[in-house]
Amino acid sequence: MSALSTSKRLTALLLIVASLTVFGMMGFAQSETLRIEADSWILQKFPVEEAAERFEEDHPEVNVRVSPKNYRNYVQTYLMVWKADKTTVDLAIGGMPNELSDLVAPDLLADLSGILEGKYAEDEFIPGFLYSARFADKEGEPYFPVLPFMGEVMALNVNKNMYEEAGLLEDGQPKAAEDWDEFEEHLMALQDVAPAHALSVDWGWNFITYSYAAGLLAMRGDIYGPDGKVLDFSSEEAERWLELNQKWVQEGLAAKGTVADVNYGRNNFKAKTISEIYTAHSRTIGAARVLGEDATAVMPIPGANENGTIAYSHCVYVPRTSPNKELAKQFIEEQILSKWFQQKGFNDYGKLPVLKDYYEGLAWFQDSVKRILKMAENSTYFPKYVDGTKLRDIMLEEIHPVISGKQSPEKALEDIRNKIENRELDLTRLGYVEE
Amino acid sequence: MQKLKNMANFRNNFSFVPYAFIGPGLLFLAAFIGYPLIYSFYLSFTEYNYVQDAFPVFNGLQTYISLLHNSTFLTALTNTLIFAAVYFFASMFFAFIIAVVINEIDRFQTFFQLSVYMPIIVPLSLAGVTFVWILDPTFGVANFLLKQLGIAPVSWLSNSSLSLFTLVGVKFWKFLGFSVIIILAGLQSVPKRLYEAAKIDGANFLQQTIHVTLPGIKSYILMASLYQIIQAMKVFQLPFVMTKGGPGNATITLYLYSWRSAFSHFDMGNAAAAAYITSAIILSFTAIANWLLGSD
Amino acid sequence: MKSLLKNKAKPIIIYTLGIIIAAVFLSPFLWLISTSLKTRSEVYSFPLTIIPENITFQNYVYIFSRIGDFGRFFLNSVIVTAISVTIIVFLSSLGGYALGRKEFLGRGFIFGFIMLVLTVPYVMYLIPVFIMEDALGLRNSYLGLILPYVALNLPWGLFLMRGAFQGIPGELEDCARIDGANEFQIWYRVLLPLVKPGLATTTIITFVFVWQEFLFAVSLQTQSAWQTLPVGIVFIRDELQSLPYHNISAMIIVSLIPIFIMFVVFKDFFISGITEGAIKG
Repeated sequence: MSALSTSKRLTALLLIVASLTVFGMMGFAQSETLRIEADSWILQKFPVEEAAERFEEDHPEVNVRVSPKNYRNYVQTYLMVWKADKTTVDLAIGGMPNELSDLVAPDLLADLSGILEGKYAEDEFIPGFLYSARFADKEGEPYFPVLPFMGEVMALNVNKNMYEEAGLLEDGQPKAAEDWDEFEEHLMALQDVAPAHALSVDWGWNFITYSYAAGLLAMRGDIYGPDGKVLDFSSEEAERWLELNQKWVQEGLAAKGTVADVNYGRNNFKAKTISEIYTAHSRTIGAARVLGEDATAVMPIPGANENGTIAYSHCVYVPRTSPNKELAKQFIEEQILSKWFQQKGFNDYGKLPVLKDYYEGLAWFQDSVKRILKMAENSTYFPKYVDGTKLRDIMLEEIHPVISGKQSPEKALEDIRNKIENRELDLTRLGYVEE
Repeated sequence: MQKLKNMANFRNNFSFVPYAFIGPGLLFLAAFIGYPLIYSFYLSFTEYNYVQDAFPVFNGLQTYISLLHNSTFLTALTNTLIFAAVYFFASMFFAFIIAVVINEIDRFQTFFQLSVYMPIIVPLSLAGVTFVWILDPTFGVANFLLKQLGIAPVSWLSNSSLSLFTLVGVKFWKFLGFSVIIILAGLQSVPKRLYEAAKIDGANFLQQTIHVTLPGIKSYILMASLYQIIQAMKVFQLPFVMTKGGPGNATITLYLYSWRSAFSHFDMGNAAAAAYITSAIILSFTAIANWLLGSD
Repeated sequence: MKSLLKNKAKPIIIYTLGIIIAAVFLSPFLWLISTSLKTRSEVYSFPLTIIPENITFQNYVYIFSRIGDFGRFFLNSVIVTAISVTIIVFLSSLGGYALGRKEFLGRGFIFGFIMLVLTVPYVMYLIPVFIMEDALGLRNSYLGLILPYVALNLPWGLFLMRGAFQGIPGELEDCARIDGANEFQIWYRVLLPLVKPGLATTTIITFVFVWQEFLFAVSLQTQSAWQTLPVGIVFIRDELQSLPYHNISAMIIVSLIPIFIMFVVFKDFFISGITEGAIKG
């Protein structure tokens, strides 16, 4: 008895209790908590916490913890932590496939393709949202390491009241121009009504790729060059799209403000100085708060109904090192892709559902939503390249002077092609490319 | 003999004390200045994509060569030089005039001084944000005032011919105080009797300025010049905050190019080379200014 | 007669010029204040109003309560600046003493190195420091900014303090040494109090630099929780995207208050710090 002194016994006891607590906590954490991280803006605009509560109700043994992630450079953080085989999150919400490709390449994300069946089959999704999430695995087979949960499309955001003043309403809806000549006629009518300009196309650094590709797509039906992988910078349509934009600016019909201020378009749209802006569709909804729901609408540009528009999405993903992958996948199926969650995102903030079915029965903008669905059914995504940022910077360099009238579209496209070659840009496509 | 004496001196008087005093400071300098200087020199001769490559790969002068053929870099170079020239001469000219005016003010001189110095306290990035607001084409007060005068609104930042000079203006606003401080100190150091002597000789205000003031404050002008030359070429925050180098390439500068290479493209070798070329240019201009203004 | 007219005209011209100059330099501040006191709808309405119609302080409340990051930026700036400046002043007064009053091997070399470093644009250090801090996990932390800031400001601080120490008469140390004080006590008790103006100058010069520093802050601190005011406010502006300036201008005004106070209190030291180089260089 006295071989072990009291203090030694106490220490041993403490050690045992401590280990039990630690193991207990680890066990507790491992099997029963689903850790979700989302960007702050997502937590604000989507009912993530409510979804967590519903999930807990359906699965009483599970505890769901929702927390915000740091807004900038979470990709780098995840990269470092997951590479080290650790993780503090089971389900991450938010991030565009382009940004997330750094996590896909080292195979850090779980395969979510299993979710895509039944009511969540591939063709139930808006293609431009879904297929940007498709990557090639090590054997070159397509798989989905991320899944979209919301998206936006490039579209014409219009001020309905100004359309009315310009005589462009038909049956209470804005007239959609069938071709580019008619489009220009509309611009001229609107220019008489709009204090500053009829149109602003978004050529800011964050939208230039989408604006370029969306116009190209509407005119041509395809945004790729002859090899089907690299973006087209040589077709007639590419030149024409730039030419038209240059012309509109020169004639005072369109504004060029977005070359310096990325928010120029939406600020002026909200202030009613510009009658329509070509950018993400969500600007319409944002402006509706200021202008009124009936004052704004989403419209297609000529060709968008037949050829589709450019779409981009935000995704959810699950790290391979998470011990709760199955739970995370269930959460995605039961909550994130559910009708109430997806529709709430739209009803509250105008974020588009990713499943075509959910476009019925939305709370507002029903007319615009129909038009969006039409454009979105043929939508495609902007491709991700290894040197994508450099490509975008080259586009900025060359396209801005075209918009300002200081360079011809032909020369700009030629310079882009030359720079791609001279600077040896690596235009390997990340993401799965259908052969 | 002297050398032996010094060595004896050294041996007799050696103490660790001075090294203890300067040691900690030197450690900081070695770690965060000495080592980076060397490492970035090395980097400029390599190719190193920070995200994709595990380590830098030596490639000799190739990085420098492709840099000097890169049209964006060359545009950045031209923009930087144009900016520097316009900014420098405008700064020195107006600093002198403003300092002279303030010097002549009797009452409330402190108020006038402070009003010119106030922009110093504004971080340049926030000055940029402020002026983006003031120069907003639709809602900005600048175009509003122009409208009151019957002048059409100006695209201060989206007009690629104008945007670089708009940035010059903002930088001018923020940094003029520094030059005025220096030149004012210089003006106040010129002995009054020199002016009196000139007045007796019949010199008017302008002549006094040229023949008494300017020579008298030469070292101060040199100091202000050196400061402003470095500032003139160190253009990063304003394009970063106001235009992101745009429209197109109208406002890209050497600093912005280097930063973008490093933190947007992760092309570390290229960025280091650009930084070295930038520094070499700045140092040469500083040396030239020193020689031109300092010697006579 | 002519000179009398000139005498009367000259002050009028001078004061008019002075007022124009003051107006040009002060008006952006006034415009910021005006914008910050308006409601959002007044800021973005036509025609513009120079003086707010309904003065409101709601923006100042909002930026602290709803835009959660702003308070954090403020805190970060205060902490980083306070700690950096303290360390810089401390190390500068230590090193400046050695450089200014002690003979030792390598003194000339060290001083020359410091002068050289002062001329090198510090963009050169940025990339290696970034890589270094990334490897050590120092990015997005207070230390990650404090350490480079100390290094960047030491040359100027050492230069200033060296000058300050050189200005003290020489016999004081010897007297103290005879009294039996050790080196550190000599420095601390005897000499330091005599260089208080130098300390004040170093403090305000480095304060102004660190408070406003952008290049390193934007490159090293990518998470909003660790950003300082000059960087954070820019990113909030980008995040708020549309029609944000009633709030942004309030943020800018608030962020200027500490440095404004420091500047007004230490103005003369700041001026002497700037002109040091002119006299000695």
